[in-house]
Amino acid sequence: MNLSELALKINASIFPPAGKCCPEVKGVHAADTMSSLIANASPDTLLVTSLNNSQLIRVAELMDAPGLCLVGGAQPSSELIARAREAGAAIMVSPCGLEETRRLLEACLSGTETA
Amino acid sequence: MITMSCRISGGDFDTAGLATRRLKEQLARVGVGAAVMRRAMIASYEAEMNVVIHARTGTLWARLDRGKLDLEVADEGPGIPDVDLALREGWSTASEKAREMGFGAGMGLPNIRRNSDLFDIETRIGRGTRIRSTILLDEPEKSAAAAFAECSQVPRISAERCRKCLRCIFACPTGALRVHAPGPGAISALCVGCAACIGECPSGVYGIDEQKQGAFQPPTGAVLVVPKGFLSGIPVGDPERVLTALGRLGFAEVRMLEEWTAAMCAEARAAAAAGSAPVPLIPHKR
Repeated sequence: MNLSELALKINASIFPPAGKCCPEVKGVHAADTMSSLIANASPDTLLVTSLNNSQLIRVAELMDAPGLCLVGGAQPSSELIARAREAGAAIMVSPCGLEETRRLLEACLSGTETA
Repeated sequence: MITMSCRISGGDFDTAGLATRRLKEQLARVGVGAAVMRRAMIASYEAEMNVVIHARTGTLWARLDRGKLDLEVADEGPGIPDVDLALREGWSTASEKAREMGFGAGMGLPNIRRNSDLFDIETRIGRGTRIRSTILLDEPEKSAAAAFAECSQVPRISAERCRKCLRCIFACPTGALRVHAPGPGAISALCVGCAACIGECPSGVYGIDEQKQGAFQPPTGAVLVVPKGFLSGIPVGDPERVLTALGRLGFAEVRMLEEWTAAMCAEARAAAAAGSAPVPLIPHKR
């Protein structure tokens, strides 16, 4: 599913990557440690995290992750958005917490979400 | 062949990861496959972050040659007092600042080791640490090994039914089964999913996990080694039907254990004989 469609479904805002449309994702991985994020990142996995720093972009860039989803309505800094655009990764901001966001995203991807 | 080296500044979280990004660019340029790239990125990034978190400075060296990628990250730092402890998942001495950024979960060294085919740490207290990681590039062989590991289905075991007759122990062609006081268990690394135990056990201790059924897919060209009586022990009448079914499952050949053992022994004898020819330490003078 396209990241912008996904963002719409879970009521999240999205900052798309520079010069390309929002990438497709097939899975999500939620974690609040960098080691878990990098170990489970892949080119079609959206990384969901309660962290909010520039090393997230480095992980996404190294692992070709399509994007990052910050949770709890955490606002990314303009520097983080700029780095993400440069790295070709989208940033989503979910109003829900980590577990709830993961559950909603997984439900959307498996087509079992409730309206 | 490519070689590269890149300095890493301890404590600098802004530039952390740049050495690994440079490595990625180099590896992408020579067309390294996605699986190796992924393992290299995880190992390199984790090792680089160890320098940033714990050391004053460090260097990442990488060398891609002869079917393998060698990574080496050496730092000038405090060293690791107990390497065994440091390799344990969840153990960390990272600072509060690093933990706030999501590091220091005690998964760095385990992640490097998990993604390396060869892994080594050398450390001296007060001097620094050197981590070596080798990733083999032999993708077809690697994926065959992975496929074999995945197809190896340890049977479902209902230990309470066991009457300790030990028939399964003698039936298992790879010696994967052990019977202890609470009941039998299987060593997953040895189990080849041949189902000999299921056919042999009179008490129905063994079975196939319903969830795993259908997922069974042996690697292409795999040889199934079965014990004596395996084919006749499957109640479908004609053993030819069993062979046909095993062929449909993907096994290229079915061999009897005794025949296989004899062939392996003959091979080993021949190899040992060839290798034992005396080689003079000092060449004979003419």
